[in-house]
Amino acid sequence: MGIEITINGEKKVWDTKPSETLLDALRNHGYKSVKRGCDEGHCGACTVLVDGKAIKSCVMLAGQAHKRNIVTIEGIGTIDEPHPLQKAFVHTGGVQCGYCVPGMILSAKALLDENPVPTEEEIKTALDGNLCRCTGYVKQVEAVGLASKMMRGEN
Amino acid sequence: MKNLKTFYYPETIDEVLDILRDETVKTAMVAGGTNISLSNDTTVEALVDITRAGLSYIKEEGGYIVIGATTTVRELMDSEIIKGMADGVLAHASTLIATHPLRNAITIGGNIVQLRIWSDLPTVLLALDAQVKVKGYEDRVIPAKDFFAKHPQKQLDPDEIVTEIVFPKAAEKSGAEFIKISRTKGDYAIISLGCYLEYENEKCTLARIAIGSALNYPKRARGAEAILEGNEITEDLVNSAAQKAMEEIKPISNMWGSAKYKKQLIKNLTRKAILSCNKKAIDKVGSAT
Ligand SMILES: Cc1cc2nc3c(=O)[nH]c(=O)nc-3n(C[C@H](O)[C@H](O)[C@H](O)COP(=O)(O)OP(=O)(O)OC[C@H]3O[C@@H](n4cnc5c(N)ncnc54)[C@H](O)[C@@H]3O)c2cc1C
Ligand code: FES
Ligand code: FES
Repeated sequence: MGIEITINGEKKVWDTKPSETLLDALRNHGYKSVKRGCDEGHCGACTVLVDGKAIKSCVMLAGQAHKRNIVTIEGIGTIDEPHPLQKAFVHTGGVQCGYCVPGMILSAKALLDENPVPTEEEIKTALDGNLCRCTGYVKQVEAVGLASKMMRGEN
Repeated sequence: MKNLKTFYYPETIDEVLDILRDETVKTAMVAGGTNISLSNDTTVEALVDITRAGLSYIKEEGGYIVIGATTTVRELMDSEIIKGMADGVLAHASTLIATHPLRNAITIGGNIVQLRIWSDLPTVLLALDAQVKVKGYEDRVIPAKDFFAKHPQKQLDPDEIVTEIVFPKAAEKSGAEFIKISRTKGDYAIISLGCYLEYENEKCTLARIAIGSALNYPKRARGAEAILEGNEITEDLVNSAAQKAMEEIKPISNMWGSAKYKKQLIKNLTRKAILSCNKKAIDKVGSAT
């Protein structure tokens, strides 16, 4: 089955198996930043942006993404020019093993795009679907606050 | 769904109905997809994505608040209309469902049709006496108490779709509450409880207490409601209503909690919810009268 999607700004037509999840479709097409943890909606490692909203791609079928706009971490920043969120996660120490980080940053990006000056509570709500087994979350919440400041030119 | 061959993307309800009526292909609907994406139903040949059919909206119509079936839980929790409806209990319940990226996907229609023992929104629909609007060959309006009397999927014909959920606006002298007990915020409910009380003069004239996660389907505690109705709310009355709710709902044990623990929760939460509704009603009009 062919689906038309925009991924990281590029329009593509993908041949997918209709029963395939968006997570499988993305990984099969080389978007390996999208991680599989639990495969049933709990851990958030598979989070991507769909029309600007954070969504768990393991509990969404690829067919549902037809004509939608998908963003993965490959579409955010570059090695030379990281996104402020990426810089902030490094700066605060919000990255340890890194497995949760693509999903975590995408959830944070959806938040900051909608709400550039979030409260700590709002940051915690936006990240509540992304489990991290390493950092203890404190530095990740801090990172999102720092990125918000950096994006407003304050830091 | 290993025999799934294709998707349809209807843009109107009529197009949805045409596809559902096509007897040559076995179809199912997908809304948020958070449940059906995990399905291993091998009979389904085509999925009908209903999220593009114009069913995502929240509006006020006269004395009612009307919610399109594909409205997401996130939209409910952020909506000023829903935050202002019946002390915001539907918005509050929405914040307690799953986690953020799931709340962006889960729809109110999917949540009530795919009823699980721990589903949260059905408890709210029951407490607020909502109605479920269904379209098929005929239009039907099903009161929540009938919709959840058996599994909703057994209520609906394969060619029927839930289009709207309609809530009556709360009375001026009223209070509403929703409480969910789970091990962590967003985890599955051990018990959920929705309560709505209406007052005239000094007396409670209408009481609805809905209890979720105790049994496979959410249930009203009619005996407890009857104790409150027609009476002034006193400490003694609240205690006997709570005792009655505990006795009449006979919860089942499951991995989230034992029947014994759930009974205690039902008693304590009924008490807490009545007191909270009572206080809200008093705060609104200066006195509950
Ligand atoms: C990890 C996780 C945690 C969760 N935690 C909670 C929780 O704490 N509380 C809670 O209440 N829920 C929770 N949920 C959500 C719940 O389990 C269901 O996944 C969700 O309610 C389904 O909604 P959906 O819109 O994604 O439906 P879908 O998966 O798209 O559809 C589910 C079923 O409903 C049918 N359907 C959908 N819309 C309609 C309609 N308009 N008319 C007729 N039929 C329809 C579909 O055909 C399908 O059979 C959780 C889900 C996950 C994955
Ligand atoms: S892999 Fe999707 S939430 Fe865990
Ligand atoms: S950094 Fe290891 S899981 Fe988050």
